[in-house]
Amino acid sequence: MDGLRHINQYLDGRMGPDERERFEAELANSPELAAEVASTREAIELLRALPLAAAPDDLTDRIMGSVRALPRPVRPSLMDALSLQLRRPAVVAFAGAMTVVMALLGANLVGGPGDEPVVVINGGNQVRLSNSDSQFVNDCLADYQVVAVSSVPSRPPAREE
Amino acid sequence: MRFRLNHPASASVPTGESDQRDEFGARDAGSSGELPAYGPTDLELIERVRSGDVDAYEHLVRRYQPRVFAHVQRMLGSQPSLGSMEEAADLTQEVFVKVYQTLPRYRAQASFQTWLYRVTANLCVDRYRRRQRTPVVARSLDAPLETDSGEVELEVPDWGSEPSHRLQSAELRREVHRALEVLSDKLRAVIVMHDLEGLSYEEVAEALRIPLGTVKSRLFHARAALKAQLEPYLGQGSP
Repeated sequence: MDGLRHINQYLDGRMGPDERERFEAELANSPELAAEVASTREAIELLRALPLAAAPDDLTDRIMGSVRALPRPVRPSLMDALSLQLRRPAVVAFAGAMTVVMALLGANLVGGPGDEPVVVINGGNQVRLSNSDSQFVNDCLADYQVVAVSSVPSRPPAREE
Repeated sequence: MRFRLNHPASASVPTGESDQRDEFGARDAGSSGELPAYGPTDLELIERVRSGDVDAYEHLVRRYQPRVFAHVQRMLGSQPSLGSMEEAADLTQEVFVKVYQTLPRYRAQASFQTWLYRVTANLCVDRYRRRQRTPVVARSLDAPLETDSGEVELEVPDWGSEPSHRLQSAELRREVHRALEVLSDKLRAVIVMHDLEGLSYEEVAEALRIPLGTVKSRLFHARAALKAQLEPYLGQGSP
């Protein structure tokens, strides 16, 4: 299996010069390996040779006809985006954790640059998110200039009187 | 009504010869989807669209439509026929409508092309799964098609080189289509993007939102399955 994986790396040009040199030396001495390389290459070339149809001449017009009939797309409001995403369990879990963290932090929430809202995420309360959920959170953070703090500054110890 | 068949070499490999320019003064990227040598970049066009210039979107459509249409055909997997071409055209339209609607949320962390591939791949998977529940009858290229308006011929390209020449054999062409069709959608997406459309491992990973190691692994399994399916036909030509 490793040999076969090396074939892919070789065919895709993903070997360094030394590794490539070693592989080609092995290729020269191994008819089996050479046959594997040749058949892999041939299978890919057959796939590449499959004919494709050209798009219908009026496809662009059809697309643009549909697009022009649509209202101008607008950036969804934060609430709209959240209400859609809150149907997803991982996002619900994330939002729940955030709520708890924010409630616990209370007075530790501080105003960010330009009085934008600040979301403080407690590093100790991690929620496992899928890629798309993470992407969504990142989108929100970037779209609305919300500042994310990965760890919460600890509350200063109460002074002893 | 005629669908033309492109020789794959001209459909997916940038020739750099096109000198057709549009109203923006940019070259059309043709099938390759390459960025134009000059003229507005994708980002500039996207900004225009965001500020209400729908015509700028038409330029993006012209730039990427051939690439999306080719990808859709390959992902749907069946042999070219009127039905499958119409389905590919419908899906291509769906992709560009979806992209237009979500354009305000696009940010340049990924290239527009990668983002477009992501949308296309997702819609292809949805369509493919729906289609599996409602089988489509594929029709052969070798026979003319009977339609309401009479007999329709599909144009077959003038094959000149190996291995395209070998694919004049209807049986082999069917087998190659079949080999692609029987792959799972995950394996097919990777082999189509990498081996047929020239995306790097990294671009495939970004488009499909999977780790690089998964791309390598899927490509390995896809090629192995492809080779197994085509084994009786390999070693007979001189590619």
